[in-house]
Amino acid sequence: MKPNYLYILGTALAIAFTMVIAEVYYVQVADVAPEVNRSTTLYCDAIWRMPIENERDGVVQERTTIPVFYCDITDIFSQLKSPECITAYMNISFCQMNIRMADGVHDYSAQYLCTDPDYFKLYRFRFLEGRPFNKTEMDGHERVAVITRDLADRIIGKDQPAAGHIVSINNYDWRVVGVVETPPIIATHCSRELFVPYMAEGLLTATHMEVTDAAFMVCLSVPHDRRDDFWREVAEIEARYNMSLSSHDFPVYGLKPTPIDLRPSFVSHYGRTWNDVGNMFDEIIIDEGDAAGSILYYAIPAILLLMLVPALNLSGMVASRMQRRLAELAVRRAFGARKVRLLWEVLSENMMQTLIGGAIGLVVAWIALYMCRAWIFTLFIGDLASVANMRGSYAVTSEMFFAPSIFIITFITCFILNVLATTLPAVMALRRPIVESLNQKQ
Amino acid sequence: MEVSIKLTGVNKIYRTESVETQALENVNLEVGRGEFLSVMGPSGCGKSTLLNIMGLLDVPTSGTIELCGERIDSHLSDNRLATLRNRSLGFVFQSFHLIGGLSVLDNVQIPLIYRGVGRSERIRRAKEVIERVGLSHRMKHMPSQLSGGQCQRVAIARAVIGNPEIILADEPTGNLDSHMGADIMDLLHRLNEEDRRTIVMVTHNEQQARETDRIVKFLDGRQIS
Repeated sequence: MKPNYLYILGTALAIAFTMVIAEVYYVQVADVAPEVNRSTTLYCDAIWRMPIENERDGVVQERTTIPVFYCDITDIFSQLKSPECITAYMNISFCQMNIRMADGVHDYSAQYLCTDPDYFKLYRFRFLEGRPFNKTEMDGHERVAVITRDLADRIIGKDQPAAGHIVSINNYDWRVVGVVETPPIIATHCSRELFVPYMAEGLLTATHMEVTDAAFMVCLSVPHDRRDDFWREVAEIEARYNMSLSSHDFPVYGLKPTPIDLRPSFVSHYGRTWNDVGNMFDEIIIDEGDAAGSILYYAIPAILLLMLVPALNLSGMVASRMQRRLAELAVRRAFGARKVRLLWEVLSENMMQTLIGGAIGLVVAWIALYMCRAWIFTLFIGDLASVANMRGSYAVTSEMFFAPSIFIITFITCFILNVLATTLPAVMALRRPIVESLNQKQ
Repeated sequence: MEVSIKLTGVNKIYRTESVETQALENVNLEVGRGEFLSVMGPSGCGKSTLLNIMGLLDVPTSGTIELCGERIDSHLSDNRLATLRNRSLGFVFQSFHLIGGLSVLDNVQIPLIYRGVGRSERIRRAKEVIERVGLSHRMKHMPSQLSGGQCQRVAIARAVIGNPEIILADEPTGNLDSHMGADIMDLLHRLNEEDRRTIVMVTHNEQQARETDRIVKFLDGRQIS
């Protein structure tokens, strides 16, 4: 049988479309370096706090969220024992520090992130030189920094050793202790150029705030087998905290502390990603980071729904092709072909073409993703100003594109596509009387 | 006389919502084994319908059919009908009905594919019959590269490759010029005489019909002679 190039092309485009959608979703949620713990990570950048009174002056008082402050890290999060790793970074959107460039004259404004040493345990940067800063340096308020290779190229010189160098940041001398590979732009918790301890002396001039005033993003890695223990711990801490409020009435950021509702304050990476898609799926923000649930119940149906349009198009193409092949099928039946055999022939022939189309689609999708990666990788980041300020790498790694789950989803999609697009028109064609089908051509 | 095809009281009525058309009316016909029978009549008299019913491509509204000694019941399964068509019948259509995407060699093999014959055996037999119809130099050609007469030869080769007892030819020379038509008729006569195949041929051509063993004539669905 001669291949139907239009069908193959249609399939290729449909698969490419699916792959792009799947990849866009995948790179946002998969464990991609340096965010290799996305599947187990929970985030908390604000704590739900209850009103002191449920009702005041006839008005129902609603609970509200208050950012996480340094005191919350020490009072609440430091008590958690079940997480594999707890880290926090100052939640300041894309502030910049001025770094003197290699020419000794000009400054470069670098995106920075103020964090703690455990940050480098949760986020696995590839260290090209040196090491992360450590607890001693943090507690000693030392001015130490980890910088990306791209930044090192700018301020020290291309491919020059940078670890151990003293660089001038905001007119203070800082010691570079490590150089990391520039993180990809899709790693939103990592795509910065400069990483410094938030307790470092002199940070105030850059952040314009004391560490006690800054809002934090707390990131915890809690493996799924420890979740029950974790939530138990959270409930205990919450109860203890709320009990202690009577003796803890000094204001925090000008506000009097109120009872906390801790559990809903945690959001999984999946929850954050879906939230970024435009709050379309508010109800599925899963505070337990239930990856399987997220993908099974929402991502796959969403992709299949998207696939329905190309599937219907292909079904139409197959139906029209079947119409043209009615006489051929009738001739084959006239010479002794059984319906089941013909149905199998048509299905397998279409399956082969679907697979060829799928393979082409896969390649087209990869090319499209590679060519449009700058746009695609920032597609779901709602804040365009943030996108403009992001300083990450647009490099595409094999772990992003050669994901088994994406292959499986694509293969299943191919299969469903083929069955949807072929079976119905084929069965209808074969149910027609042979004579009627033969006369169709005449 | 051994009977290849026996029709008894066959009626065929086509019904639409508003119209009922009697295509065949009480047809009783026997075709002997090895007989070359012509079916004649004006357009719309039911000749092709008769051929389709004989070839198990269509079902009669009432009446019985016997094919090579087997009674064809209405409850005969699709698979059994397919087997009968494959083993006992060969079709030659006026418009050839060759499959455009297949070469001559592949077109001719079709009945053997559905009989489960192995590829090498299929090719051997296909080459044999193609040679017999005089087209061995066109085996790799596609139907679109052949003349009408050559296409009909391919169709005949396809009809006989499975060695069926009966060949049903629906106006096999209808789309051919007289010269090519004569060639095709020669071929059919050879198959009838040399292989003792039963041939039922629908034709409008008096001359060709006279060259066959017997002529039956139809008018308005009834057999008139």
